[in-house]
Amino acid sequence: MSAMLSRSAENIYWMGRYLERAANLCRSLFVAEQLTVEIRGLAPEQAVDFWSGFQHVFPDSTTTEAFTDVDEARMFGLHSYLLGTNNTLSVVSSIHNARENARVIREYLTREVFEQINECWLHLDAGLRGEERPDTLLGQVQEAVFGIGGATSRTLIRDEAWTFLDLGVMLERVYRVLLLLRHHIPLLIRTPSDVDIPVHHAVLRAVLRSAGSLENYRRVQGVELTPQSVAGFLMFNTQTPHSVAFGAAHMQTDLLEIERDGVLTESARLVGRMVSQIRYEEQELLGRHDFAAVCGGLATEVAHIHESLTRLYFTV
Amino acid sequence: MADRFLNPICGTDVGIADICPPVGLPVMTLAWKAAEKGYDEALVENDAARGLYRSAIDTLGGLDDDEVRRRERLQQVSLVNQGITFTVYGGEEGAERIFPFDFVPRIIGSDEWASLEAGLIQRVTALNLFLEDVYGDQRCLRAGVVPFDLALSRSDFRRELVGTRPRHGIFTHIAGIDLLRDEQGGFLVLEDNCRCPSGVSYVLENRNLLSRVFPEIFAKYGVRPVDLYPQMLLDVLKFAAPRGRERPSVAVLTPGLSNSAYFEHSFLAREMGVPLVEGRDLIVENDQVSMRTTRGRQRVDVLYRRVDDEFIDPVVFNSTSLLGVPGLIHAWRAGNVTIANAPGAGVADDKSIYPYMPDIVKFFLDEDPLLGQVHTWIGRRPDEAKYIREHLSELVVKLTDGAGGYGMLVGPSATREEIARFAEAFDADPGAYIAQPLVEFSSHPTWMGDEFAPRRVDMRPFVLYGESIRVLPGGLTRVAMEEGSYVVNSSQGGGSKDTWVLAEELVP
Repeated sequence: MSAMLSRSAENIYWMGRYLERAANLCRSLFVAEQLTVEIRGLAPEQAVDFWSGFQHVFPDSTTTEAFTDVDEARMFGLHSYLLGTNNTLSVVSSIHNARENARVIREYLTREVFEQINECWLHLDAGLRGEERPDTLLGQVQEAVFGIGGATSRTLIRDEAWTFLDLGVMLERVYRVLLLLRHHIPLLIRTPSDVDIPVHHAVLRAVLRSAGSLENYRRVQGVELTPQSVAGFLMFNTQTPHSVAFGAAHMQTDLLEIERDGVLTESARLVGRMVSQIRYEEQELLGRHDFAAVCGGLATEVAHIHESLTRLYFTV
Repeated sequence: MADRFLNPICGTDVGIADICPPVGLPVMTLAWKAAEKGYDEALVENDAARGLYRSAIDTLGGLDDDEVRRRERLQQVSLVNQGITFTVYGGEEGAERIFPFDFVPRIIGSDEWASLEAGLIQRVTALNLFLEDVYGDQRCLRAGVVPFDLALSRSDFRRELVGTRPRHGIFTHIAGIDLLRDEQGGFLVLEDNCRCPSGVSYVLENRNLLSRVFPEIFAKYGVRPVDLYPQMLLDVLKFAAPRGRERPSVAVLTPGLSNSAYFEHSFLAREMGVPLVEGRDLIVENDQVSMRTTRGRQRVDVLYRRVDDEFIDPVVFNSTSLLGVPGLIHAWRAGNVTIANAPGAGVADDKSIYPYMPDIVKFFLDEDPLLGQVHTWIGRRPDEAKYIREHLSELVVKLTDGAGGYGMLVGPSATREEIARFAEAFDADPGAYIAQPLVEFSSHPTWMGDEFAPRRVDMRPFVLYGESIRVLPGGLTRVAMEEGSYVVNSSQGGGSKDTWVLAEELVP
C-alpha cells in the first residue's frame, strides 16, 4: 500500500490514543490501589486526594465528584474509570473505542494485534456482565493491554500506518503526563515541611509509577525523591519512554516520516517548537513558581498539535 | 545434541507435544447416524462411512467425547478471539455474531469436482453473455428466450446502463452459485449470485481453523488449498482494469462497519493488500475516481464493490444514498474506472430469470446445461400463480428480489397462520414470487455438542472471471443447525463447514 486513506490514518491514530489511554489508566488504577493499601492508615486524606486526581488527569464531564472517605473514593474511581460505560475516558470505553477503530482498519493490522485487542475487550465484556471482580479484572486487562503493545511492536510493519499509530500513542502519553504533573506536583511542592516523609515519598513514587517510570527514575536519579526532581525527570529526561521530552521527540520523528514533499507542516512546526522549549528552557520552566501553568500551557500546545494533525491529514 | 539456541538459564525445551498432548488409544465412543431422509453426504444406510469419508470418520471417531469437546472449545475461543463475525440486522442493531463452524469437513472427490467445475464455468459464461446481451443487442430477448417484459421489468435491470459494455465484456467477475444435492446425490443449482456474493472469507478462515484445531484429520487426504483465492481475485480485478493502466490501483468498496459482511470486506482488502474504502473516501472529478489519502488524492482504477447498485451512485440511482460516490457511474461509463461486479449484473440472478437459465445456456453456447436446477413455478404466469396459491403448504415460495432467507415461505414446515399471512402478501403481488418444490436436500454429519447428527447442507462455490474462468476448489458449505431445518442462512442461525476438494481420486 502506498499513501494511507485519510480516514484510516485517523482511525489508527485514534486506536493508538485509546490503547495508550487504557494502558495509562490501568496502570494508574493499579498504583492507586496499592497506594491506598500503603497509606490509608497513615494519611487517608492523601489517599483520597490521589483518587480524586483521576478527575484531573482524565477529566470527563460525568465524573465530577468530591470525596472525603477513602473507600468511597476508591470504589468510585474503580467503577467509573475501569468499567464506567458513561465515562468516555474509562478503560472500558477506551478499549471499546480502540476495538471499533481496529475493526474499521483491520486490513492494516496483523492477526496478532487484532486478536490481542479483541481478547482484551472480551475480558472487559465479562467484567461488564459481572463475571469478574474489578481488582481481578484490572490485572487481566493490564496484562492484555501489555499483550497488545507486544503484538503491535513485534508484528506491525513500520509504514505510514505505524507512524500514525505511534503519533496517537505518543500524543496521548505526553498529554496525560502533563496533566498528571499539573495536578500532583504543585500539591506535593506545597506540602508543609512537617510532612510525614514516608507518606510524601509514597505519593511521589506513586506519581512516578503512574507514569511507568519509577525504576527508570531510580537508575538515573538514585534514591533522592523530591517533587522537583520527579517533575524534572518526567518532563525532561530524553530516555525514559513516558517523559514529555521523549514523547515530543518521537512525535517529531514521526512527523518527519510523513512530511509532505519535504515541506515543514504546521504540525511539525508546532512539535518542533515544543521540543525546543523542552530542550533549551529546562531550568526556566522548572524554576517557575506556577508549575501548573507551565504544564497546562504545554498541554494546550499538545491539543493544538492534535487539531493540526486532524486538519492536515484526516480531513483531506 | 543440545540445542545451541536454547537459553541456558531457562533450560527446559518445551515441545509441541507438551502443549498438545497426543491423544490416547482410539476409543470408539461417538456414534454416527445417517440421515433418515434425503442423501447423506458421508454415510450410507447402515451408518457406515462412504469411501471418501472413511479416514476422517475413523479419526474423529477415535477421539473420546471429552477430547472432541476440548477441541470444540478451542475452536470457539479462536473464533471469538479472532472476531470472525457477521453483523445481524434488526433486533439488536449492529450486533456482531460468530458464524458457527462445524468441524466435520465436507469432502468432494476430484472427479465429481471436475464435472461440477465444468458446469459452473459453463453457467457463469452463459450468465455473462446474457448480461452483455441484455445491456447490448438484446438478441436473446428478441428471440423470445427470455420474455422482453420480464427482463426489462426486473428491479435490478438498470435502464440507465443500456448500451454500456464493461472492459472485456465481463459483467460478473465474481459469482457465487448456490448448489444443493437432491435425493439421488446429484448437484442442482438453487440460485445464482451475480452481484456481491459473500462468504468466501469464511471458506478461508474455516480451513485455517480446522487445520489448527483438528490437524490429524488432514493426514490421509490431499486437500486442494483455498488460500490462493485473494491472489486469484486480485488477478481478476487487475485484468479488468481500464485500458492503458499498467499498474492499476485497486480498492475494495464497502458500505461500512454496520454491513453484515464487513468482516469479509476487511478480510479481502487485507489479504489482497489493497485499501478498504467507503463512499466518503472517494471523489469523482473530471470522470476520474480518486481516494482521499494523507498525501492528497490518489487515482483509483478498479473498485471491487460490495455496495449494491441501488446505493452506489446517488446521481444515477438512489438519490438519498450516503454510501455511494456521486459521479461514479459516469466515470465507469467513460471507461476510467472498473466496477466489479459491474452495475446492472443483478438482473441475471433475479429469481424470475433463473427458470430460463437452461434456455439461456442453450441459446448462447449451443450446449446442454451441465448442471441441473430445481423446477420453478413463476408467479407472473397466471396459471402458475394459481398453482402456487393452491399449493402454498407444499412449496417453497420466494420473493424474486429477496435474499438471506427473508420474504420466504417453506410451506411444509410453516404453520397455518404463517401460510395465511403469506397468502395475503402473495395475492397482493403474485408476480413478485416464484415457487419451487421442497427439495429433500442432502445432510451431513455435524457435531451437535454431544453427538454427531445429520444436518442439511448446501454449498456456494466461488467462480472468478478474468483472463479465464476459474473456480475456487471448495466453497462455502452452509449447514442448518436445527434438526429437520431446511434453512441454512447465517442470518437465520445457520453455520458453516470446511469444504474439501481432493487433489486425486484417492480413497484413503
